[in-house]
Amino acid sequence: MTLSPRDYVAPKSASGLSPLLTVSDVVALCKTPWGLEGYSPVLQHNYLLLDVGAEDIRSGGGELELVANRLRLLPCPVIAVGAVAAPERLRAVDVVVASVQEAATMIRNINEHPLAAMTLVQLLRHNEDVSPEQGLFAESLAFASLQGGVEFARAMQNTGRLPPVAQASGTAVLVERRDNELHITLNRPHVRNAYSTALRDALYEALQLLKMDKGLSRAVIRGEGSCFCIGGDLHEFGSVSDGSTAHAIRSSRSVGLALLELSSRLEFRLHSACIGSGIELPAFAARVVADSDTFMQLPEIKLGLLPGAGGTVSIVRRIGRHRMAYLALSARRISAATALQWGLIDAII
Amino acid sequence: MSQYKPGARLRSAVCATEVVVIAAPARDIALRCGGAPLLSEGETAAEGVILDSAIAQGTQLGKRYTNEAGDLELLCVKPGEGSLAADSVALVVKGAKPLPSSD
Repeated sequence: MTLSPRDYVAPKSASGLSPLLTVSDVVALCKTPWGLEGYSPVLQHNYLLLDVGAEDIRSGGGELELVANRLRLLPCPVIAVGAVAAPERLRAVDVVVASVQEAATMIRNINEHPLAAMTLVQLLRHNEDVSPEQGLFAESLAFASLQGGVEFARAMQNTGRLPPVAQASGTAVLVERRDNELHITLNRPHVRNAYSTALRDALYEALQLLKMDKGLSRAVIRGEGSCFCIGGDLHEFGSVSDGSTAHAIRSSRSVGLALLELSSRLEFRLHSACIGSGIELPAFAARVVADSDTFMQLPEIKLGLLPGAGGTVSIVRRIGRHRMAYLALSARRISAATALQWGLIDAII
Repeated sequence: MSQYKPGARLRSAVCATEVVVIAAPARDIALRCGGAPLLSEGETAAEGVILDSAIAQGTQLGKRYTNEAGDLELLCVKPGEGSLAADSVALVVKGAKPLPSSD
């Protein structure tokens, strides 16, 4: 009998934990082609939980490093548990937490959206080894794959597609020239500067001006109203017909690529909520400053998506792959103080 | 009447407008802003020129201006009160082609 895709269902272990393995367990499992076979959203486990606390990591991972290449191909997140002196050196794992308790929120998100979690960590591993431009290309493809996926479809069904909102009068972005500085203001305060098509196009246009006028020393970008930007406009979510067209659109007018190219001449000034694209776009800039009331969050996994506005390049460049995975898998808010400590921003003003 | 090269920076003789040439035809054209010829770098305004109030709808920062033939394109890098014209025909704002949401 042939198994049709409808016959199997990805495991729903939302309440259960996959086993906590030691490094020795994993090394032993890596000795045969089947040892880690169950670690996949379409087989048995949505993630691999690895106890690294007991291991001697000082030597750069030791035993763990031996199986790093194998673990980096695993189609699910590898969560390291334990106090590690230099977590950024753990090439074999995707994210590091101090305790199983700390992993709980992340594990719940992963179990609810295992395909999004898998795609995210695969993308972050990939982007670590390629140029930023190649990273943005891969991000768009990965995002497209999730846009066509069952998890996003389910999220859209649950929330119901929001009706489009009429564009308020006035322009989505204000652009002003003060001597040799360009001042760009996100100007959709009535919807907390939700990143809509209109905002995308207006910001893109303003960045082209900076690119074309070498007389402009830099651009300073802020948000009008109660916060900097609450991320993608949910009223537009689910509006594109298919993932391939969405990828073509992103490739044709990429704000991320423009920010990347102009990075050295950009400063973002953040306040209050910076959600999704609201922190992905600023993270490209050479300088990011924030009010002390600023907070950041990457909630995309809850919609079965991943950060798709360039964050898997821009944020990774600032805080590394492990902390990026932590933010995107946990969907946890972090404060300006934490963001400063991690290097996601450069100063609190 | 002059020929212009992409990248050239021109400024209005009668208002704050400055533009960068994005595209220009390979023939002589008369570019004006607010009724007076646009100045190339190094050129100074003729004495006594003033803004023609009938040609003063203003220029917008960051907008591209084009002619009907589509072979001339100027990017406004400093806004001003005058309106741009080529061979006495007003230039119009060239909007970006609409692209739908990618979400």
